Amino acid sequence: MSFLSYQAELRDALLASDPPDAAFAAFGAHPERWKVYRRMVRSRFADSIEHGFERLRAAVGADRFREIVWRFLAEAPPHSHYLRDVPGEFLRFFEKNCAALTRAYVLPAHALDLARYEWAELETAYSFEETSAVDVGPLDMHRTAVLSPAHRLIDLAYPVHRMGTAGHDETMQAAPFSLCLYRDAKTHEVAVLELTPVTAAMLSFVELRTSTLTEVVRSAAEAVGVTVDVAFVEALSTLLADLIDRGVLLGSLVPKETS
Amino acid sequence: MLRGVGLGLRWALAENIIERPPPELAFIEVAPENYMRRGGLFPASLSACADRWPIVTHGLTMSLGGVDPISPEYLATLASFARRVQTPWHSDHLCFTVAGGTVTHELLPLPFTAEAAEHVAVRVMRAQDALGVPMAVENISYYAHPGAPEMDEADFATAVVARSGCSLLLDVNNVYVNAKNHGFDARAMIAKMPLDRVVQIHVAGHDTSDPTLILDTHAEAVRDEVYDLLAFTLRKTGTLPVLLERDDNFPPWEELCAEVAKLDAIVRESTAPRDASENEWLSASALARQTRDGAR
Repeated sequence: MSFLSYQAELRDALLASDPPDAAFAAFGAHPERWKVYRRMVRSRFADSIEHGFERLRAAVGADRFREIVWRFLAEAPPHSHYLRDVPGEFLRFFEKNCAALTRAYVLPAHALDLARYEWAELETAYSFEETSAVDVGPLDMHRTAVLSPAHRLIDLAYPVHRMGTAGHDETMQAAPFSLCLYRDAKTHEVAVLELTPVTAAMLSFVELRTSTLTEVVRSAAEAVGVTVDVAFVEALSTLLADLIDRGVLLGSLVPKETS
Repeated sequence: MLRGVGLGLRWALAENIIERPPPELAFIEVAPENYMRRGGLFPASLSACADRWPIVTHGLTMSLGGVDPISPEYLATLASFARRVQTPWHSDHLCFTVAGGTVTHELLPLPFTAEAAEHVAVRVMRAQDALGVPMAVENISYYAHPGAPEMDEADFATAVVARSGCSLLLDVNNVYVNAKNHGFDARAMIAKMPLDRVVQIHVAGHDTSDPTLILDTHAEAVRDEVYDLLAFTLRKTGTLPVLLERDDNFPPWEELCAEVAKLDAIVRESTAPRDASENEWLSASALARQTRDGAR
């Protein structure tokens, strides 16, 4: 076995669903010890994924969830240098194969929403992008508003964010929700805001950083069919103050000085 | 110059390290993969530590023995991280972790062959150039060897450091575990290692629940046999920074502090001047290291 083929064959033996004993015997003495590597690699990945998707695992059932993890490792093994990214890689596999997995493992209807929500929590907690303080000034309706990079907007068909950590909810009914997950700047804890349709639309437009806040508000109101009247403006003022207070909204972009 | 006893910054230990550090604590080691491209609590903890102790980086996924190219993006991010924490060197393992694009997050064994040693050495040199800091390679615990070895582990490590010019991070627990699992004499293997190239030592606990295969878990207290092997090593090398690796199954904080204190006492006792012949050996070893450090 060449240096090159050894590495590829070992990887396959470690991650395949059911490798034959001969696959381990090919590496030399102590085939049982090569299986120890298989157990270590798979359990590390499984622990990382199960930690990331505690509620999904509970909702799906521990044994069925573990089978899906093994399929992920065999069919779409992780590529990230960062172990904390592996749940996200698992989510992409889960999303891509959701229909087949749902048929094979009889998954609950809210499974995909739950997976997306749990990963959004982790991704918000891990978020590392920074917005330079020198680029952001006080909130100005005539400038582009800036959200904290440590946030995620997510639309759900089921209220999975209201589930307990046990993951079981036999009575879960479909109901659309738009959420903003954000990381508290002081405690670093992730918090969740349920958004009204107009707020959800507005934050989606703010994310794009292509319009002034005035234009964003107008576009969001039009998108959801809301009249911009005095009551709306008063509510908007309260909302913006709250978002700034929570650190979700940082302020407005300061125009670059031209020389 | 890094000296004394260090601890790995693990999430479960961070609060105690920052709030109630053992008085002997001299440095902090971090796995960059746990901090790079990450916001929130982890970098906040690292900053709190970096304000008080030197930081040394110890990577997990460079895959020095892999055949896949080392990710340029990973190297660039690591270089930036290394500069930021001002690590005196960056270490990673004599193993491969990446194969066919898959990052296994496991330290997989390399064959002890001239071909593999050359392959690793070339990659170490390239990585060192990209990082801009000196590199050290660590001997791993391996449970099986692919095919028939051409040389023993010490000769393999010697070949890599000689060809690449890098340093060695000597994990004495790994030598002990390998000696038990593969039936060789740990002290003889330590003595044969390129000790003049060692810049740091690791110690850890291991799991002996299966008598046919000891596992290097970093989840138990350091055993007396490993303390003895550490003392044996330090008597040959002179003083070096010693890291206590504890990654899981964390004991009460006082127990971990007691381990740090015990390690510190061993470092001091083992490197205190003894008779003339031993001092001569120690001076030569220390001189070799200082010359290397000066060359950097």
